[in-house]
Amino acid sequence: MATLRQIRDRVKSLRNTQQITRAMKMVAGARIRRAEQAMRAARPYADALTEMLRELVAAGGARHPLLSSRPVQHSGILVMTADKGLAGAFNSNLVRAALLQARERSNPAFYVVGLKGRLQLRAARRAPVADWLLQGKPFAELAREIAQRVIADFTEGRIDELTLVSSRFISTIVQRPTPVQLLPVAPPQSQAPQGHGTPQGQASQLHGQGDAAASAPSAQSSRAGAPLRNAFEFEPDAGHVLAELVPRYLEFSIYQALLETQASEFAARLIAMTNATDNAGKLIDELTIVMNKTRQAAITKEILEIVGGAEALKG
Amino acid sequence: MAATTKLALITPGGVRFEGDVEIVVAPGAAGDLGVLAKHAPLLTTLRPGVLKATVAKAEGAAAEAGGRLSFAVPGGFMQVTPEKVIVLADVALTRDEVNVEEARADLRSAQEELARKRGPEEAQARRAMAWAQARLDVTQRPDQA
Repeated sequence: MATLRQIRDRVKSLRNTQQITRAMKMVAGARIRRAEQAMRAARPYADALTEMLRELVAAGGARHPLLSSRPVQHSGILVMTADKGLAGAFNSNLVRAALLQARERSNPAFYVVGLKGRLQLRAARRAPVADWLLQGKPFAELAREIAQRVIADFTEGRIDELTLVSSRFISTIVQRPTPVQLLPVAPPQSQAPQGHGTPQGQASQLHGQGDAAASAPSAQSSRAGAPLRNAFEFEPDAGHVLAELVPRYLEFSIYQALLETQASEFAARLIAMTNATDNAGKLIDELTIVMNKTRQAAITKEILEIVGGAEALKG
Repeated sequence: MAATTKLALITPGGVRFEGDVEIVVAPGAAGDLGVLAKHAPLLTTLRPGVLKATVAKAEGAAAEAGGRLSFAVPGGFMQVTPEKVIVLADVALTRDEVNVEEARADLRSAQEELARKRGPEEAQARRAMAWAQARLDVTQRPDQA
C-alpha cells in the first residue's frame, strides 16, 4: 500500500490537472459561441452567392474551366484539422476520413490545413503537397490562399478533381468529418437541398426567406425548360461575371468549411475537457477516501502501540 | 413618394444593411449605375468604389445623414431583380469605420507599386489603389452632397 505522503501528492497533482482541464473547458465553451456566431453570420452571404451562381448557370451558355469536369487521373484531397490536440478523437477522425477517401483514389495529392493533420499524415506516409496552419491569419485570407493554390493546381492539370474533408458542425455534441467535392465546382442545383455535407447544401437549406419568391419559380421553370422568369442581363457579360463568381464561390466554400471545422474543434475540446474534469474529480474522490483510511490506520496503529507499551510497563 | 425597392448589403461577416431604399448607386464593372425600383434583372460585378443608397424611411443613424447611406466596397457582385437588390462584398465600410491613416498609406504604396509594375501585377496594384481611394472617398465626401 502506498504511503500517506504518496497518496497526498497524487491528489494534489490531480487537482492541478483538473484546474487545467476546467480552464480549457471554459475557454472552449466561450470560443464555441463566437465560432457559431461567425458561422451564422456567413450564411446570408452563402445563400446569396449560391443563388447568383445558380442564376448564372441556369442562364446557360456560360462556360468556366473550374466548372467543367474531365477524366480523372490525379486526385487531390484537402483535409482540415486543428493545430492543437486535447480535443478527443477530433483530429484523428478527420485524418481517418481523409485516408478513407484516399483509398478510393490512386495516389492522391494531399492538401492539409492544421498542424495535427500534417503530422498525422506524415506519420501515415502521406506527406502533403501543401499545408497551412488553421490559426495565425484571418480565415478570409487563409481561404483565399488555399483557393488560389488549388485553382492553380487544377487549371495546370496537377489535379483533375479535389475533395474536401472537413468537420461538419452539427451540434455541440455531434461533429462529423464529411467529404465534399470542391473541384470541379458542382454548380448548385435548382432542386431542393441536395445532401447534407456540402456548405452549399447547408446554404440552400436555409434558403426559403425573402428570395424564395424570386428563385423558386425561376428554378422550376428552368427545370421544365421554359424561359426563365428573370432573364438576367449581365454586365459586362456572363463570361466575365462567371470568371469572378466561380473562384469566389470556391473560396467562400473553403471559408465556410474553415469556420465549421474551427467550431467543431472547440466543441470536441469542450466535450473532451468536460470528461477529463469529471474523471479527475472521480479519481480525487476515490483517492481521498484511500488517503483518509490510510491516515486512520496509522493513527490506530500508533494508539495500539502506546496502549501496548503502557500495558507492558504495568506488568 | 417614389417607389421603393429592397436593398440587402451582405458581407461574409453578416448583413450590413437591409431595408427599403429609393435608389441604389453602385460602382458597376462597366461604370457607376443607379438602380430604381422595378429595374430589369441584372447581374454585375462591382469595382472597388462607394455604394450609395437613399433610404425610403430613414431611421436612426441613417436619418442623421438625410437618409443617405454610403459604404466603401472593395468590389463584389450585385444582383438586381424588379423587387430587390442584393449586393455582395467582402467588406463594407461606413465613413466612421474607415481607418483614414491606413487608407492613405495603402493609396501611397499602391501608387508606388503601379509605377514599377507591369502585367498582372499592375492590375492588382490598380485594384488596391481603387480600394484605397474608395475608402478615402467615403470619408471625405459629405453625405449631404
